[in-house]
Amino acid sequence: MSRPRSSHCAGSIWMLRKITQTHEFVIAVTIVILSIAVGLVNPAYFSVANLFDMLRNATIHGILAMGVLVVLISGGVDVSFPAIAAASAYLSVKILMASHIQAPVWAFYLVALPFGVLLGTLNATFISRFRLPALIVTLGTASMTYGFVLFFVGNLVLYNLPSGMVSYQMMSLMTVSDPKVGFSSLHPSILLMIAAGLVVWILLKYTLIGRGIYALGGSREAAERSGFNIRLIEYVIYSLAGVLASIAGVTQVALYRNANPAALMGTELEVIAAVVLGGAAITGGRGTVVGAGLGLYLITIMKSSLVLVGIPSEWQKVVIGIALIVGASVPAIHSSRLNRQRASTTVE
Amino acid sequence: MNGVTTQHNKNGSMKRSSDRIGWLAFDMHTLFLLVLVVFIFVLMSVAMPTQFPTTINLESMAFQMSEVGILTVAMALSMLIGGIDLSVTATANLSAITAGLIMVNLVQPGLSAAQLLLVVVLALLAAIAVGVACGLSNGVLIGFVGVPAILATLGTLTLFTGLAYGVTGGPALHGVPPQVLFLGIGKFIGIPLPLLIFLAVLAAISLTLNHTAYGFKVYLLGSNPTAARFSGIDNPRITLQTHMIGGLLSAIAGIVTLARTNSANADYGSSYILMTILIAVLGGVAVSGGYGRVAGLTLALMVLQMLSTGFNMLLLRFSGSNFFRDFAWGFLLLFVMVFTRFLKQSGTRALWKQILSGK
Repeated sequence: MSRPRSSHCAGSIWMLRKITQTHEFVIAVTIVILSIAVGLVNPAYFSVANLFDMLRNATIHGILAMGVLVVLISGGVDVSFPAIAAASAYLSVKILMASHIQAPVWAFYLVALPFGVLLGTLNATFISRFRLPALIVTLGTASMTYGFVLFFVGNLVLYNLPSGMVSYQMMSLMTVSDPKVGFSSLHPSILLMIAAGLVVWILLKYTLIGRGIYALGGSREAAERSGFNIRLIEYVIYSLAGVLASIAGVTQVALYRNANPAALMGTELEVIAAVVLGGAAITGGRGTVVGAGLGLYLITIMKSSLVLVGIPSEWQKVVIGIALIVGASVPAIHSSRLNRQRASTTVE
Repeated sequence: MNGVTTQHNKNGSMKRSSDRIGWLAFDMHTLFLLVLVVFIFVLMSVAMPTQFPTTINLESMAFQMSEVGILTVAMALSMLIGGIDLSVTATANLSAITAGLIMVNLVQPGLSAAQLLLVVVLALLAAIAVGVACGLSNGVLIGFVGVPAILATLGTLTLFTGLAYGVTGGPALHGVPPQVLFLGIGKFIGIPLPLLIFLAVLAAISLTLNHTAYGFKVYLLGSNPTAARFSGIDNPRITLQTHMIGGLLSAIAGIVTLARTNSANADYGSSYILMTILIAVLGGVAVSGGYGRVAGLTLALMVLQMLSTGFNMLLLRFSGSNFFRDFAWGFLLLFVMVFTRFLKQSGTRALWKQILSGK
């Protein structure tokens, strides 16, 4: 009787150890510690209203982060997603405003989607078809996309949005009023972020393409030889990033109540930093949806805690930079130590 | 990236013939760029005969070209060793801000000439020290910690820009003593001083790359890091040195910009990153490392500067003509990369065949 129990016990300890050794666990602990520290300085932090505010602020980056995650796992990188988001949203608003239809909000998403797919496919064509480095390709397409929209379509920020968009901005799933934080509501676009997370999670965990994305990031050669359709996978990856970017773009228009052709410019670093901090390797093969979400949450807390501690917002970029460097260095040191261990064992 | 490296290896076995072809290909590329320079110059001159081929315009192009040129050399160096340096402009801005802050705070009306000189020298040295330190941190992260160059320089780009924002609080810095402005707007025997600085940088880097052991190691590291390691090259050290030189060059570019515009700004020239990559790629620097010549860089820089000035003049009456430039640079970058990829893979005839067959 005692044996199975002890083995069960050992098993659960082993499980526990396995969980505590994951990157996600480390990030989660950091978040908890930081949250307690911030909460002690400012008790309003632990209110539902503050949670709603933080979720609202993280929605757009959260949707974008899911696209970046998939790209990073495959061993690529994409810095064009802010451009895709801004361009597809701006074009969608322009088209629907020119058509003079009282378009409901889903129409904006629907019109923006093809642009996202198109631009994502363009990235994939250069990266997969011509085998060019993803960073330089997406730097090029980002510059092209922003430049094209700003020069050929228009460079005015549209504040007079159609009624469908305005009523969407006013919608809320729930509202709370807090004596300290004030009135706060949960915007339905949070559901889009959750949906994006779920779709990517299922794609990565339960589909052949998802397995292929990890395989491709681990070793392109090995993935190719084990029969994965690399080209198809790469098209899926970058089109998915494009689709998610266009969804984020329209959401951004709604939440900020203006359509800006240069919106989100420069946010690529913050989103990539969050995903990398969440344990995704830019060399590919590693990364999870939960990790990316936690990484995003950590960066959000770090930024808000800076303000609470009294450090001016000009220094926010320094914190993101340091977070990115630390987030990238820790796994690099870890893997080089592993390599050295492996090398020393093979020599012996 | 790996695909190209293995190809280099395969070609290496046919050393003699590939050497000759390599030399020829280099020559063809330089020739192509030279023709392009002449072609664009003639085209722009015909399109705007009263504006483009004037002494004033040529001079202003020379002034603008120099900063971008120095930054391009820094970028190209990092690409030669198979990496990339996205933090070149951030380093330049941080250096310029350092020099600017020292001068703005220490230069007072009552200073004697010697004191002023001391302050200026101190400011310039501090700027260069900051640049080298930025390069050092890139080099340590990439070479010793083992962070991929993209990610490391993305992080330091954010960090340096953040530091620049934090130190200045946002707005641009003004008020550099006129003696320093000379560096950016002065002329020496009729040649703009920034151009002279740029030419000096070119000469120094060209000599270093082609005539020193360090230069040889840089090319070897870039074309095949594993082979380099097994031939006894200290890869981390070369990476560190290369990024430190890159930081130094970025600092020089920052000082020239500070002196030319009389201002230092945390986000000055953010579009320069794309431009420097474009110039390097157009100039024949291999994106996978190991190949690139200073002559190609210089010609590519001239092409881009003439296009940039030309676009500005042609599109002046449209609103937001600089956005067209962003579009054109992105398009050109992708076009040139696809073109050179095909050219290297299969030669010109196969390229046409492939285009015609639509594969």
